Formats: sequence, C-alpha cells, structure tokens
Amino acid sequence: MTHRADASSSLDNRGYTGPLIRGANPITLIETAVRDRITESLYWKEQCFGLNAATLLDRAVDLSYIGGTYGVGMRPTPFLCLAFKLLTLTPEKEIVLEYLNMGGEEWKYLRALAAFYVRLTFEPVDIYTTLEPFLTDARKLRRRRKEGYVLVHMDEFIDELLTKDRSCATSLWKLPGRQQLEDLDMLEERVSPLQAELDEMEQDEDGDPHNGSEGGASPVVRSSSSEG
Amino acid sequence: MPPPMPNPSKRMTANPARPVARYRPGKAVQEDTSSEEDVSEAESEKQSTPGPAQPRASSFPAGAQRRQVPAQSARKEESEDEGFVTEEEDEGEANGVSLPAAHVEGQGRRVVQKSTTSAISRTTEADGISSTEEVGSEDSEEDSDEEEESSSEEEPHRKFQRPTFIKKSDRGKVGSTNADLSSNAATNGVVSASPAIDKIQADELRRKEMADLMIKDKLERDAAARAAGRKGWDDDDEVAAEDMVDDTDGLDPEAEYAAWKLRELKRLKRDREAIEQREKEIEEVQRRRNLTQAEREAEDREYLEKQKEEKEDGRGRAGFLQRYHHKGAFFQDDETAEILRKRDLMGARFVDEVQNREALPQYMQVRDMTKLGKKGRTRYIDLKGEDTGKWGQGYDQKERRGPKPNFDVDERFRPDHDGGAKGPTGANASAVRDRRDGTASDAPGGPRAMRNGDYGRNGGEGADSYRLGRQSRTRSRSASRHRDRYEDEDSRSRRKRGPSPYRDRDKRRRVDAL
Repeated sequence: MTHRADASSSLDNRGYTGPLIRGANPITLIETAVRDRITESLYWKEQCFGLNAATLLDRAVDLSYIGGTYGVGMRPTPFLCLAFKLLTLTPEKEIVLEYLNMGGEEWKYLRALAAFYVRLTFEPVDIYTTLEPFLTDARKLRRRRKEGYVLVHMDEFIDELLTKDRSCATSLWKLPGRQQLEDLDMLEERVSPLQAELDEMEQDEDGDPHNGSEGGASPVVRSSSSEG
Repeated sequence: MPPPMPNPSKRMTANPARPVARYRPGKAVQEDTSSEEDVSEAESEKQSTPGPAQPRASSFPAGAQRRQVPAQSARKEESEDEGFVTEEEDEGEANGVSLPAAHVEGQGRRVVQKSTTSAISRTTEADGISSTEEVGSEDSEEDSDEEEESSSEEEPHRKFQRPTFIKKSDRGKVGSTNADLSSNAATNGVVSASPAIDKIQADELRRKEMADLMIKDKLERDAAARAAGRKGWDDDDEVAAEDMVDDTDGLDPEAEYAAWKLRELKRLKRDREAIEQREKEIEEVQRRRNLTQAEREAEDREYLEKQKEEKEDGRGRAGFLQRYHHKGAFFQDDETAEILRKRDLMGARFVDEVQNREALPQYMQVRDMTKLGKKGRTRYIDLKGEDTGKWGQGYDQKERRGPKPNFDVDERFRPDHDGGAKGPTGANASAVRDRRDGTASDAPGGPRAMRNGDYGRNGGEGADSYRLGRQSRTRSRSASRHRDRYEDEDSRSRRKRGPSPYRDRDKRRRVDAL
C-alpha cells in the first residue's frame, strides 16, 4: 500500500485496504463527529501532514497537554490529533512499545499518547500487561478540559484508561474486566508494589493473618524533571 | 477635439487643488508650484513655443495679478492639456523672480521646497543658454521627479512637499546652496545637497530603520513564542503563565510520592472491594438456591415493598392532572445518574400550587386556574366526571344481589322495587295482560266462563307474574296452535269480524273482573 502523505487513504472508508483493528478501519475507533473536528482543525492540516512514525515524535515532544476536545466548538487538542494520526499510520507493536518505554521515560506526554493508542488498539491481555507497569509512574500531566486546565497524574490517567468507558473524547472499546481475564486464566493477578503495605494495613485493621504476596521493590518514582 | 480624460490625481472640482496663496501687502505672493510639478512630470523633452506672450527673463518686480494670472491660466491650461512646457517656464520665471524678493524681505516663513528647485531651474535658465536650459529643464525634471517621488512616497495625493521650518540662521544657506547647486546642476543629474532635502531623506532613512526594527522584533517574538511551545493555533486562548496548571515534576518529591501512594492504595482498595462484592453475590445466589420457592417469593415481596415505601415516601404526589414526565433514558455519567435518581420530578411543584384540590370550592377545582372567571371556561373537569354510566362496572361482576337497599333514606323516598324491576319501566310499567295470539279470542260474546277461566288463570297469578304466566305458555304462533284453540273455543272460531277495539280498550288489569 502506498504511503500517502495525508491520511486520505484511511479517511475514506470505502476502499480501505490497510491494516484492520478488530476487523474495522482503525479510525472508526474515534467517533465521526470527533473525527470531523480533527480533520478540519488547523493543527491537523498544518502539522500532521506527511508525518510518519519517526517525525511524529517531533510533534509529540512538543505536546504540552493531554485532552480530548475543548471549548464550545469542540476543538480537538493536539494530543487527540496526534493520536488520530497514529491510528491512521498504525505503526507496529514494537514501535509503540518503544514510544511507551524508552521515549516515555523522557517525555511523559509521549508516554500518555502511546498509552492511549495501546488502549485503543491492542488485545485485552496485552493492554493489561503493557499498561499496568506504568501505574507506578507518578508524573504530572496537564489535562485540558472543556473549561480549562486540570492537573492529573500519569497513573491516574492510565487507571482511567483501564477502567473507564470514555476518555479524551473517545469511547474506549469495551475492555473485559480484569477479574474476567483472571478467571479465564489469561491473566495473572496484579501485584502492586504496595501490596505489602496494604496487607499490613489490613492486618492491623482486621487482625487476620493475611498472606500478603511479596511486595516488589519499592516503587520507582520519576522525580526527574521532564519536559512537557 | 475630444474632451480630455479626467485626471485621476486631480479633484473633480474646478477649484484649484490648493488655494491660491494669500496676498499680503508688501510681501511677494508665494505661488504654489503643484501645477508646475505635474507639468514637469508629464512633459517629455518637449519644448513648445511660449504660449502667452510673456517676456522671459524679466526682472520685472512681479505684481500679484501678473503672477496669478499666469498661474491660473497655467492651471487651466494644464487641466486641459498636459505637456505644455511653457507654463512651467513662465511660472518658473515668475517664481524665480519672486523668490529672491521673498528672501530679501527676510520672510522665511515658508520655504517651499519646490520653489527652491524651481529657483534652481530658473537660475539655470537665467543663464540663457538653451542647452543649459534644456539640461536645466532636464534637471528640473529630474529634480522635480525626485522630489516628486519622495513626496509621492509620503503623500501620494499631494503635489508638494510639506514645508519645513528653517531657522533664521539657516536661511541664508539656501541662497548659497542655490549658487552651489547651480554650478553642480550642469554636472550632476541628481541634486540632493540642499539641507532640507537631506532632512527628508534622513527622515526616511530613519523611518525605514524603525520599520526594520519593528519587523525584526516581531520575528524574534514569534520565534520565541514558538520556542516556548505556544503554537500559532493556540493564539486565541491565552492563558497567563500563573494560571496555567504547572506540570513540572520533582518540585516536592516527598509529597509527590505520598500522593502517589495514596492513589495506589485507593486503587487497590477499590479492586479488593470489587472482588468482595462478587463473592457476596455468589454467596447470595447460592443461598437463594437453597431456599424454597415460597421463601424466595416472600423475600422478593418484602424487598419490593421496601422499595415502594422508600420511593413513595421520598417523592411527592403528582398534582392534579399533572403531566407525567419521564426523566429520560439517555446515557448518563455516574454522577449525573446519581443526581437524577434522587431528583423527584413528579412531586415538584410551584410554591403557590394547590395541594388539596378538594378543599377548593367546586368552581375553582379546575386544571387551569387562569381560566377562572373567563368567558371560555367550560365546566369540563375530566372524563370520569362526564361519564354517566357505571364506569366499567358490571362487565365481570354478576349482579345477583341487585342494588343495595338504601336505608339512609326515608321510607317514602326509597325506590319502589327492590331489585326485581327487570321489566319495562316508566310509562311502560303498567301491567298489560298477555297478548292474545289469535283473533277469535276477542269475541265479545265469547264464553265468559272460558274467558274468565283465562282471565282467572292470568289474574290469579297476579299482575306481577303475568310474564311468568306468559312465559309458562308457549308462544308459538304456529297455525296448529291456533287451530287447537279454535277448536277449544268455538265461539271464537265462529267470529266473523275481527276483534273490536272497544272491548279491549281498557287494557288494564281487571282485577275485579275476576
């Protein structure tokens, strides 16, 4: 498939022959109304033209806030535009993991972007296994809501991706609950680094001897000041 | 000749572009030289014959009329015909003469730049050499062109430069520069050595520099903005840096770590609770399976009762004929769903709304209070009030007992019959004896005994039961029956005429006739 500079090959759904996500055109993961807002926005037309997986990084490091749409006219945030661009590009899994892990170490908004993409496109088990380690990342994110800006943390954002139905102007496709996957033996139980502490707390409360699973190493907190 | 094309640079009026200079007694009139410039611009290397007969290099002390006349004529002619050189020269002549006079007088109030150039040109002309004249005219052209350009730069519509004030000390230099220029004019094409001209150019240079600086500033600012991360498409929402949410990490590691810990623990707790919830549910299901059907039903009923109680206690009753409003079944967030669940839609009412409609007089027991006292008000209340029937009764009940005896009323006012009035009522209620099927039975002279027998039979059973009597008899009207009766009662059968109405006039019950 020829790689076209704009996203026209995927935007028009009729002759779409690219990679499918769960049997459908990946951009259908975002609703039509939001999709229209994105493609009509200045950021998309100006900055997202002709990006590939590598040049997208240049844009991603310039991000300064996450969010869906804001304002009265439902203007899309650059974050959402880039996420949409990722959906049209459908980079490979390794690339996305690179974004998440290595790139995300230094640029937290890139990590947020990659996490969003993972949540939309990966398989359920992979989603859980990929995103849960980042629940220990406590960096601050700036989130743009309809009225203004809000402070949110990376672990909160990822938790929201894993549990809520809607985030960033998109309805995330239905993720089977962790319990279900555990019952089906596809997933193992999540071991939180704070497990030990939690068990201690419960022990103090209830007085029952809880067999706390071994808590991992002390949680790693990114305290380095990172760029927005 | 065709009418001349309108000159776009000129106004549409016939007035001069600039008013004529005022005449002040004793002072030489300052001619404006705009017309001159136009002409000089328009002209090519033409030299036309001198128009009006004016002596050229006349040192005649110029009078006002003379000057004005040629000026006006020049203007008029100019307006008609571009490209006449003579006017310029004449004017220049006049100007040239006038100018030294002005300077001699020490006016110096206004020094018209153009007049200096014209003076230059005139001085060249005054040399009297045609070639120099030509050159001079060229120079003057170019000068004026130059000045014209510079002036056009500033104000494209004015034909002359803004006069600048020259101090008294500097005024003398004009003459000297003129002399200089006159020597240089022949050599140089461009003359720009006059201080006034210099000043203009210096001003322009300065202005250009300023403009450049401003542009540079703007560019720098743009670059800085871009570097700072503000994108052009975000320009319309400017958020002050202080208001912007700060997302720098590492400001307070301890606090951040503590906050993170808190969040993580909350999440874990939430997960734990979810697990417990599920376990409880499973337990409950198990337990219910072990109960019997009856117990399950009992529990369900209890639960429903409790729910209803809560609901009804919590909510107010709907007002009289209030519309039922459903709060909607669209997608709701958790928070909004909570709020909506608690909200009591049907019980909401205005402060002055009527709670107990029955307490009002009946005149006011209407749905719409605004119609009280108005002409169009109907007495309609609701459908049930209009119904005259028993509103749905009697369809599935079996009325065995009939209407209940009402003992509240006096005896005189009780209904006549308790429940047996199944027959015709009202005017039809009088006892009618049985219809005679045949005709012969009405013979007047018939065997009374027989008839009495019939009557007796009928009457004996009482008026109330005449129907029973009738019912006991078969009602067949078959001829065979008739024939039987005929045979029974010969008198009847032998009747020639039909039954007379006179006999049967009184159809009432003849009790006495028994």
